[in-house]
Amino acid sequence: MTPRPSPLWLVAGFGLWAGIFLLLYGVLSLGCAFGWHHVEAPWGTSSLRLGLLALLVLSLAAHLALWLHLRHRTREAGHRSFVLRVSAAAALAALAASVFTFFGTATLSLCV
Amino acid sequence: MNRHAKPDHGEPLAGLVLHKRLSAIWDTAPGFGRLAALNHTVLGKRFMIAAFVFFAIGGLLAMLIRVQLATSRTAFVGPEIYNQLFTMHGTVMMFLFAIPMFEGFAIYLLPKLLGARDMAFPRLAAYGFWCYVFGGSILIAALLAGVAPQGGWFMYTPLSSSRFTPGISADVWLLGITFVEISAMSAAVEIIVSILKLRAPGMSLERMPIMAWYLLITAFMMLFGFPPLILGSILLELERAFDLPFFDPLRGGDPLLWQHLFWLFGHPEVYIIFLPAAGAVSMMIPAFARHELVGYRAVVVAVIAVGFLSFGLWVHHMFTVGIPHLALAFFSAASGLVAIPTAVQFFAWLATLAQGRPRFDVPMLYLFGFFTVFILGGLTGVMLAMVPFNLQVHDTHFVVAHLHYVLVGGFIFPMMAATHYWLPHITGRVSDHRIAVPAFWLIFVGFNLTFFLMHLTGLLGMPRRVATYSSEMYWDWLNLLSSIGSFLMTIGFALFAIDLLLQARFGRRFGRNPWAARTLEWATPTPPPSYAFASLPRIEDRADRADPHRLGAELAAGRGYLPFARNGWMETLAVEMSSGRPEHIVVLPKPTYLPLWTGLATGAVVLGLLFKLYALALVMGGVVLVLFLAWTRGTGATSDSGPLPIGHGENAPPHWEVERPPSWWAMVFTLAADATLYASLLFGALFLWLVAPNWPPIAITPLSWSMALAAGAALLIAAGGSRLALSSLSTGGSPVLGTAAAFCGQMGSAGLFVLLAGQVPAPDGHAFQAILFVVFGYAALHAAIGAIFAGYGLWRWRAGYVSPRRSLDLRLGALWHDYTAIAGLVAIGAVATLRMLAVSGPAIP
Repeated sequence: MTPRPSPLWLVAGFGLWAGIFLLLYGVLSLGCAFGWHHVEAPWGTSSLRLGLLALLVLSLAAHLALWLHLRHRTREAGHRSFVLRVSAAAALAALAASVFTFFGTATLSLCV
Repeated sequence: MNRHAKPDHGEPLAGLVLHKRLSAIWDTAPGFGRLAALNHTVLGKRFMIAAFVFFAIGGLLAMLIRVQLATSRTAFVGPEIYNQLFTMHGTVMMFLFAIPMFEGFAIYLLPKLLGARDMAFPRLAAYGFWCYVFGGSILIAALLAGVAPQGGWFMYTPLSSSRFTPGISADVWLLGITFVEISAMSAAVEIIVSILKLRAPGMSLERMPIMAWYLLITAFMMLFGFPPLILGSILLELERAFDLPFFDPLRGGDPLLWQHLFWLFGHPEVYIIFLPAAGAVSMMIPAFARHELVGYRAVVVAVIAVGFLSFGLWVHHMFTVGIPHLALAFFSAASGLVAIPTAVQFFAWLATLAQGRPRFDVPMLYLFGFFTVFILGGLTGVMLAMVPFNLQVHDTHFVVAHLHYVLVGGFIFPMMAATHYWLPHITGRVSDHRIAVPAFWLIFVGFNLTFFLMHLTGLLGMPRRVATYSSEMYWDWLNLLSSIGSFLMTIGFALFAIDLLLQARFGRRFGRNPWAARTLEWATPTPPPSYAFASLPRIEDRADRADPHRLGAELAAGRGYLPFARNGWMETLAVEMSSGRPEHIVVLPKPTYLPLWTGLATGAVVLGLLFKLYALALVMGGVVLVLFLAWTRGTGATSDSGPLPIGHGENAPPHWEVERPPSWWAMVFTLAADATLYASLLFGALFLWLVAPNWPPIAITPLSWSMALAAGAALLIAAGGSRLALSSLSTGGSPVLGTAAAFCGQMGSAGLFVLLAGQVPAPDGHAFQAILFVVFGYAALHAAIGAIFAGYGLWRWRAGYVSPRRSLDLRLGALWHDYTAIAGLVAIGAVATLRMLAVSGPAIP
């Protein structure tokens, strides 16, 4: 009998969102305190902005990877697994949530 | 329970014999025996009745507020008393009504919904009830004595510090609320374990009733949301009592730390209040629509989303404190975003109504009230999520209007619907609802008159928490109409209460299930017996597709699982978490006065701390410890029994012979909450280093590395010793050597951490020193408790309760020793890191 997927997958997507939130807010706070927003970086931006954007891109990539993995497993299970179906949907919702929550990283003033 | 004889395997019983034997085992004794009640039906009702009493007190306080604010010239109360009124109104409603109301609802309903006979930890539920009642009583006694807290329900520093609030009023809040939070944390652990483990056989996760999903996610939110508040309360009390300056900016503290810790709890709190009510709506709508819930999976996804998103919103209560724009944007976006999963639930309910054949009855009136009022509150919530708008209306009555629309709309109206819906289950009687309909309309019209106008009052600039206002502001008419509305509402609530009493006392008796609902709780007789189900069902489909009438008859006839009354045991079944496959038998404890005594002793600790009688607090703390150890008498067994029949030709072992019984999971989840508190402390330390003024401290405390390393080594010996004990036991050897090593390791590390804390010079001199002191103190406390666990393990081995098959006592200790080792090593690392950071410091341009 195929082992049932772990219920922990249910919280993977939004757990990742929460982790990204902590990471970006923490790096922003550190950067503002240490003046990284005054350090120039390529493309006319600051090192803090560039660093935050890099972290955001990596985070969204992680979101995408998670969703694709869960979608693949859901299909493998023939869409019969409740946990996988819900987990995949939650992972997609979390990806959308991350895009919406953190898109200001590209444009908004950092430390004012 | 006869601990020493081999258990009787039990002969299946049926019909009246089964009911009589189960009643003899499960019923609560009359008279003073009621104080020893552990039964979930009894405790659930008690929680809900107590919550209603506190609701009435909170409502009375609201009336006094509205009398004072009715005109600009009212001289009803002065600002001193007014501050206590609005502080206690918020505190009572949030902590003493809303959370306990949902706890009581969950405790009453969950086992019946899940097809179990009781909750996982009945004594813990009873202890939580007494902590709630005693803690609430301390707050009300303070109110009557004129020393109620008066700094607002969120007790911002520096107003709540000892400098600006001398006297005990703030301590009443800090200690009283923390006392009540014991109840909330214990309920959270119990609800999680009960839902994950104590379900009917065959009830896999996807077959759970939707309410179970709501309560599971809510309980996890409580588990992770309450510890920051508990930490903040402890730190503020330490500041007030011993001058440790966590929140004093002159000495490296920061008032914002309190705000972050409070709202990190405070925002999830309002969703903790809303979600169980939404769960109740998700059960009632299908019953009245005569159609199962549309979008079950979508609702589960939505509730998971709300659970997580609610933890990313807290700064929207702090938009005006000067946090950078980008950070504000994160919280603003998340605050708006949370409306989407909420809307998903609304559309699921509307779709259910649209696809069904709705019939209208009194609960539907309140659901209509919920729909309209909560949606309006949600809309103003999205408005408030927009930072520029928020900056205009922060701290005005607009916010008061919003919060009442979402809390009354999102909790009170659904709870009133739920009361009308489930009261027939509780009492076995129905009402003709002649008073219920006018009661609803008075409440609905009165509420909207009171609070809709408050949006305008707020937009016209009236601030919150002011006892009076100038007549030149032209707020008089709006306030007078709001006050009139509040009196209408009160009349409505009074009629509601009268209707309930009349129904409970004089209502017409009826047969089962007046709503033709399809959930399991209606398969019990009404009022339900103490054992809920004479035998437990096997679930073959989603639990909201049940046929309660047919099922109830089958279970009453003993055709389900556990149709036994063997050994005088109070039995229910535990299942594998995901699949619902029956796993083991859970034998529950008999009624006992111990939770009452433990609650009283805990109350004595709180009172000792409140009146600064620290010797008394310490002694009573010892009494609490002894009482908790006394709880373990009568648990487990002194011989192996192996699997026992559970009915349907299946067997399962008793819980003390399995690897992960409910108590193991309880320890895991308790440690998760503990870790959240610890993480909040460490993040708080980093916050102060980064943001607080007057850093670095003048002197950086030297760390005795030899002592720190010795403490770390002792912790590793303790953790290693407990693993050695389990390993020896599993091969038939003695666990004594390993457990003794664990005991010595924990005692040694506790002593060393106490010495390290003692070496911190002047913890009251700077927040840096205060944090080091508390971090070492945290590690020392955990090591001391670890020593108690190890000693307890040795005692249980000597008494014959431990065998290779019965190793639960040692495995619970092992979990604690592992956590303490990690926490202790992190403490050493954190202190070293903080010292290094304090020297380097952020280079603020």
